[in-house]
Amino acid sequence: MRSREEGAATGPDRATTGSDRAPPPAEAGTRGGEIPQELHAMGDRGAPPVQENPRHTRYHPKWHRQPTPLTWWTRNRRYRAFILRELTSVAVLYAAVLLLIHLLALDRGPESHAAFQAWLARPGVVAFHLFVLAALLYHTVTWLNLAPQAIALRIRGRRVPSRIVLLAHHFAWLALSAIIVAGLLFALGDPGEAPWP
Amino acid sequence: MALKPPREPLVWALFSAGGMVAALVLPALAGILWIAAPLGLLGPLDHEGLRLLAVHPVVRIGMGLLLPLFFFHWAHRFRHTLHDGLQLYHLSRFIALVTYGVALGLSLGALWILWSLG
Repeated sequence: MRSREEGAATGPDRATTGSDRAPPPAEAGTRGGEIPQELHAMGDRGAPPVQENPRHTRYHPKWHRQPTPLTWWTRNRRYRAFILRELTSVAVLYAAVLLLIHLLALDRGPESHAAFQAWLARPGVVAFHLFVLAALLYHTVTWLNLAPQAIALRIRGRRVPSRIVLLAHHFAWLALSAIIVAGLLFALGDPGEAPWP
Repeated sequence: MALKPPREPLVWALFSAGGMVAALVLPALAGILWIAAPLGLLGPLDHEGLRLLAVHPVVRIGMGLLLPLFFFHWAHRFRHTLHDGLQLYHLSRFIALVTYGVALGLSLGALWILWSLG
């Protein structure tokens, strides 16, 4: 599909190739039509529409390609920070699953909840959760810092300065965190009936 | 890219929404529920109060929205990390199937659990 459109785009070059004396008139109305073989000296013709094979390079002999080692991301700090940032998604997955387990333990009654709390209080588990919390914080900071680049907000035709967008996101984070902490403290500390409907 | 173009914006939107809500709520939840409370910084825990909060409709609906977004945020980001970080280009279709499949399964499981709470 793509190769046909490219073939059509190279139309003006046909005159210079001189190999195109008789373009098939029947297909003149169709898009591109039959493309002369000579225009595809680059080898586009037999290529699959999507390159699924990494070893196949369309325009270059494959021996010209320098293989990238699997550990390419250990080479410098920026790459390591990038991979670390991407891997914070594993912490997000873990936190989501643990939230669900926490809800289940609560729902199953006081004994189940107490057992879950005892597991949470084990030193190794606390240490691991501190690590998870660090990853979640790294996700939050890197994510919110990218917000000004992702959001181009305009008010009356003027772009809102990126610093304002950044501050708004960090403020939203702090405000929501305060609400969550307050709500949880209320629920954790208040004995007996819950104060909400 | 193994996925057809129309699917990429959809999973990217889920990834993006999940990343935003994860950034905003998870540190506070993790810090209180899994660090401060188990360490005893908040005093003795009130099981009944926390349980009433957990089964409150607002919390259940909220979790029903948040958890699938978290799962798909992971799926999308982890798929690309595996794909590019380890250069598993020849497995891209398989990786996409597994990551989004896991996210879908976890989401359905989470919704079922939230539905049957209480």
